[in-house]
Amino acid sequence: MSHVTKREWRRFTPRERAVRYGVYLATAVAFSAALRSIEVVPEFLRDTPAQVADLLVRMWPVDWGFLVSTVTVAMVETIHIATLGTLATLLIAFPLGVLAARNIVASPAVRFAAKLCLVASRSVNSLVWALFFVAVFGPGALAGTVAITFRSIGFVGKLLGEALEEVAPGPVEAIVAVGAPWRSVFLKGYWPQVKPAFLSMALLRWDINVRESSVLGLVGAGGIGLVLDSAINVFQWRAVAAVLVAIAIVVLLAEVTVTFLRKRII
Amino acid sequence: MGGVTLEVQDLTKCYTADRPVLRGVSLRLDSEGITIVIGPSGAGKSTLLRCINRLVEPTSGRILFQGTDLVTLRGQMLRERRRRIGMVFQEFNLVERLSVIENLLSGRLGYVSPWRAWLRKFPETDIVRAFELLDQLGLSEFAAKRADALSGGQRQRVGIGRALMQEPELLLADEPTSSLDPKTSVEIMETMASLARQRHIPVMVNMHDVNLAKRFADRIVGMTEGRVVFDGKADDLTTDELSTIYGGEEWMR
Amino acid sequence: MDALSRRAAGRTARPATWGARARWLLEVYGARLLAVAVVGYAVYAASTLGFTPARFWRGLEHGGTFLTRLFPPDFASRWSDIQHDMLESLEIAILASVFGIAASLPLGLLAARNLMPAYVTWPVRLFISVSRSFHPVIVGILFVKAIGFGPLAGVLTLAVASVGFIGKLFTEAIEEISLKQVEAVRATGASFLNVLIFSVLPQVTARFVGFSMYQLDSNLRNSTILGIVGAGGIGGTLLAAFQRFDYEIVCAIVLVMIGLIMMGEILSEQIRKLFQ
Repeated sequence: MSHVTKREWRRFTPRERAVRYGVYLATAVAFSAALRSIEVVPEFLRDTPAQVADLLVRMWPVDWGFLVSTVTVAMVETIHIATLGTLATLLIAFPLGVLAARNIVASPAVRFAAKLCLVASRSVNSLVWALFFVAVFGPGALAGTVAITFRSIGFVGKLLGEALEEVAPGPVEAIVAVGAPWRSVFLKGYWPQVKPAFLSMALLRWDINVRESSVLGLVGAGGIGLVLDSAINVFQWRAVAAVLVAIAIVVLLAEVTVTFLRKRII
Repeated sequence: MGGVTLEVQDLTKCYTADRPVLRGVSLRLDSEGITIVIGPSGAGKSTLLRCINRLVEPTSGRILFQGTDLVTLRGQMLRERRRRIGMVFQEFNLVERLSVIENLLSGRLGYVSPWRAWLRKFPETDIVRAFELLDQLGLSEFAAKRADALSGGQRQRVGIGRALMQEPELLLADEPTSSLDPKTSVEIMETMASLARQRHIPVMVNMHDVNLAKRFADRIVGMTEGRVVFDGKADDLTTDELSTIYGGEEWMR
Repeated sequence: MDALSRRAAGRTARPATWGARARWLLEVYGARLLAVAVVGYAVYAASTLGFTPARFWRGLEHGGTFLTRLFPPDFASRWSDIQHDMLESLEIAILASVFGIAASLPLGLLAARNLMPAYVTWPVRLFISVSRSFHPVIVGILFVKAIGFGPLAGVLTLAVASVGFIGKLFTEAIEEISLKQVEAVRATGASFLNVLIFSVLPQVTARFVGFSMYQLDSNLRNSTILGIVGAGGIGGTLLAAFQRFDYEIVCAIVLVMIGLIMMGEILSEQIRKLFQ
């Protein structure tokens, strides 16, 4: 019988396979541990579809009158919170992002400090920031706007810093070589290369902030959240439905606006 | 040996009602040999090939492959016949993120269950055959490389290998050399011709390079405007015939 | 165009018609107009919302005192509560992510218009769309009201949010694949599932893992605050501490939350790199 040399083919190297199995195993362990220790009453789980359906039924038909009278005003306030917050973010995140960039700032201490601020900013949820600022400024839209700002700084600043670090050195060196002042180096060398990314990130963050602003009122920081909270607390489900419809419409409009602006500006 | 592998009867294909791409094409393909279909763009060569393995749906006509009319098949039955027809594509159509060996083995996908495909547990005989083919194609050192790391000619060789892994009874090639430079085109045709002859598989190729066709074809089929206007040996292809197929003589000088 | 060339262009070509003149004005002075518009809007919105400089300064003063009340963070007094609730948040995030990611794979495929017929893609796309319309906190409230307080509401909320996020991006990725590769695998006589496994999935797996890891990170963040509306986890503890004015405990909780979220960021980055 002829002898055929068996040729081996393995899809992953032994090390790759070990690591992949490690991840799968860890996931399985985490999953089963979480499943066992979480305090969920099985009866509630079984009841879920019926209960959800019941709630949805109570929301129909939508209370349009409520929409027009109360919701629209609050929704406009929500948009203001999101927009002002994003604008303020751009003002603050810009210098912080620049300070965090390896190729612009030499001192590691300064960069670390800037990066720390950015990480802290985005590790705290905007709702938690809102809790803080309601305690500081009192309830209302001011707390909400500042909360949005503080949360967004980390997001925009980090992306700006990364974009700056990826800038092609050539055009920058050329401008430095002719002895231009630093302002020009930045404006003509760095800025044109990061401008599209920066604007894109700003628009994206505004879009996210519109959605975030809609819930800040739940902790008293202004916007539609307050209206929603009140309606839920008195079980006015049809009014709640009106609020949800308004939020959905505004979120959709924001997305459309962002897509439109993206094409025109970038 | 004798026996007809493929018989196309009166095949018609219309994409829109008033513009048929194929007008009643009839052909017989015998057991072995290389048949090359030539003709200008829009003549329907590619459509003809793709109707045979039903990547394109014929409007009417019959396609008898080893006695069964392919046009009437669907689902599992169609896939079973498709397994026996290998195809090589103009743009190679390899799965770029997968390795060369995985691309070869994908020729056997008609024979493995989804679970085995997911885990890449192909039968041992398939893997052995894949490595042998790699040797014959001169690509042994590329076995574990990603398909998009290869050059055009190398990719087409993998494409030929994939088709041959199916152990087909018919090999179709849709403009296999149109994306390659002249030297590589000849190499690819030589590879395809020798491997197919070795395995006694009839080959049907379409291309628009007439000289390349004359060099490799046992039989040439000329098409124009959805009709077969020439069917014979390469030597019988005179300039008159060519101008019937392509129109005009300027390009022949 | 920078300022110099813009002015040069303006001087040499002054267009005649009104429409063209308006466009020219916009191009030359566009950036400055935009700046004015932005500042104008900011002032208008601020006044609508009732921001006065006085209020702002008062707030800053108050903020100063507030900051001192945060420190030193008090980890000790309610440590067992904090530990238990933090763990619960983690569990919510893990379970929601596993369920969400697992569901997004088939749902994303079913919603792809280049793979499935319209009567399949339409309802699935609708479901995915609705799932991502609302902030998880809002969805959380609704689930709490429907099925009661506790982590179950949290898990369902984030699972739904995960499907909405991953599902949409995954479907977009699938609709961008090269169909030539799919055609070739079909031609070998492979079954539908085999075609998916060997020609569709290899093109999109890396991105699917990327989206999933992003969502894992997002779920971890959201699980910490869902408790504020009663859906389980550390959020409830945090809210209670705020309402009791126990600011040192608040500080401790927030620091623990930051620690968890930062770890989550690192972990998801690592896994994403692994599955490239």
